Amino acid sequence: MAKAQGRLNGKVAVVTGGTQGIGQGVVLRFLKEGASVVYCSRNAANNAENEKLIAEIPGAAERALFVQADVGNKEQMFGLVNTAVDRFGRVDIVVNNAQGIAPLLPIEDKPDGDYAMTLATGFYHSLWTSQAAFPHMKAQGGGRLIHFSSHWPLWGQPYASDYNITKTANEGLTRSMAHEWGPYNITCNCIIPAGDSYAYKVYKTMNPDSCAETERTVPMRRMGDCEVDIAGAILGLCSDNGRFITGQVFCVDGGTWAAAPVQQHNAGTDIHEGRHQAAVEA
Amino acid sequence: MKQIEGQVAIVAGGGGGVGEGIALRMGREGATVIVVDADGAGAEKVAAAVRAAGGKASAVRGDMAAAGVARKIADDAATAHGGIDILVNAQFPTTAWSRLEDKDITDFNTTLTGTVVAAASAMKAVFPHLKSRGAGRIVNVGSMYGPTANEAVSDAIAADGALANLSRAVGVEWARHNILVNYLQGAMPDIPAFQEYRSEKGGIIDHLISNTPMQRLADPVEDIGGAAMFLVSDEARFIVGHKVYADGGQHLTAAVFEPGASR
Repeated sequence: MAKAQGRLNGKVAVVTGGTQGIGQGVVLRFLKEGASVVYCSRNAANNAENEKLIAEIPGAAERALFVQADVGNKEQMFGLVNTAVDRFGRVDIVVNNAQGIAPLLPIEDKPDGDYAMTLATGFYHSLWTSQAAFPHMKAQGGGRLIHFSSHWPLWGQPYASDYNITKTANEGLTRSMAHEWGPYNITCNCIIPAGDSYAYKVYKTMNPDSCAETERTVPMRRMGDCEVDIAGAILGLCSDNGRFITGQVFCVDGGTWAAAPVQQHNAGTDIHEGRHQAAVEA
Repeated sequence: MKQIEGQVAIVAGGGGGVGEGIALRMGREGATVIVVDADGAGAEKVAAAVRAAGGKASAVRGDMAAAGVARKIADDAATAHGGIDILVNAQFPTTAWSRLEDKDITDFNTTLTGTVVAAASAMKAVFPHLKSRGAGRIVNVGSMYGPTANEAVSDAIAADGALANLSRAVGVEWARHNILVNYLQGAMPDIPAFQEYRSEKGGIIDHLISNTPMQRLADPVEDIGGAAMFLVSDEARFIVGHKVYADGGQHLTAAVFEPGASR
């Protein structure tokens, strides 16, 4: 485990989808580094594990705040950021980790609603939280925004066209925000993770041989730990070390980007077992 | 808190410019810094500055591309300090600006040898020491002209691309040993060479700054040195063969360097 160094002392962070996988890793890591963290999930029951884990971090409980919110809902995303400002007085960092996932389907069969849901919970939620945070960051003299992309759009992963266009949109949003908000000392970067996420664990259970093969093709020969490896890089971009890094897409993946191991899913597979399928509001 | 307390870092090309900023930062963050530069006086000056700030540093005059030099520097450093944790390749010789049709072809030998061959030699030299530690970080510093289409520096841009690909190729080869190789580019550094250029062509630089997202020059210690710390600290422990621009977003903007241009 990496040693905490107080790298985010006094900072206030918002993390979407912070109760499992990479988002949970970011919440825990940021709390250990001294930040106050406001995070959300659609389902309050999802927060049970975090409550236990946060209670074990000295002094973290009073700096952590869970908000039940749907990332596909604009009002709730503005509300999430405003809650952070109301409770902790500012917002320095927004990590847009959450993403609703639809079943894997061929393009010719994919319903329009899947595209709408995936864009709302991936692209629009990232836009909304950033729009909500912008005036505060501008007034404070700076801030850090982190969006998420994926290896999948790089390789055109089959049956995930809705997901691929959403993540590509996030990369474009990253560069636009870097340009438009750079003059206010707000950096914006995008993460492509190869983490031991919830989705990867399910995929691994379904396809152990394929995963063993995939991990052999990762130059570091392993998947990333959500808190140590993936959240570590996000921490670096949000700490003082990342102060002049903006507009970039970072593969935090042990070198996977150079090896391009496409996952061999079958059409119709639901690697999130229904857990991530947010309803589209309106 | 110091980020790399007790580690041993070789900073090649650390006698001036961007390398100087990285060497000063690593000294401040608790590393023992071996400043290597073909300009021995520059190396001595930077090592002295690290020591004056309370850090640990020594200077070596040397060209990493010359036969046997990198091996001796690495072995001596490992013997003196008990091992090596970090290598920064920031050496980047400059040649006269001209478009390719007028460029002396030997400029390519100078630039590619002084960057790519030097970096590869230094990496080979530190490899056994990093491997025996079970961990290591290597940062290859590219050219500030690399990401955009600046004119009259084709040798530097070619070398920059080669350094990025060297970092990717060896990054893949050595990741299994937990030796992470990445590329760092620090643009628009607030260093003497850049200030001199700005005094001659101020309008061009002002235009560049106003077009760059963060709209300011890079502080070599805080901004570029900070990005170097990202790459050598626990933060980047899962990043391999990657490019990192410490440039306030300048890689997203148009180039403005043209020979003879004036504003």
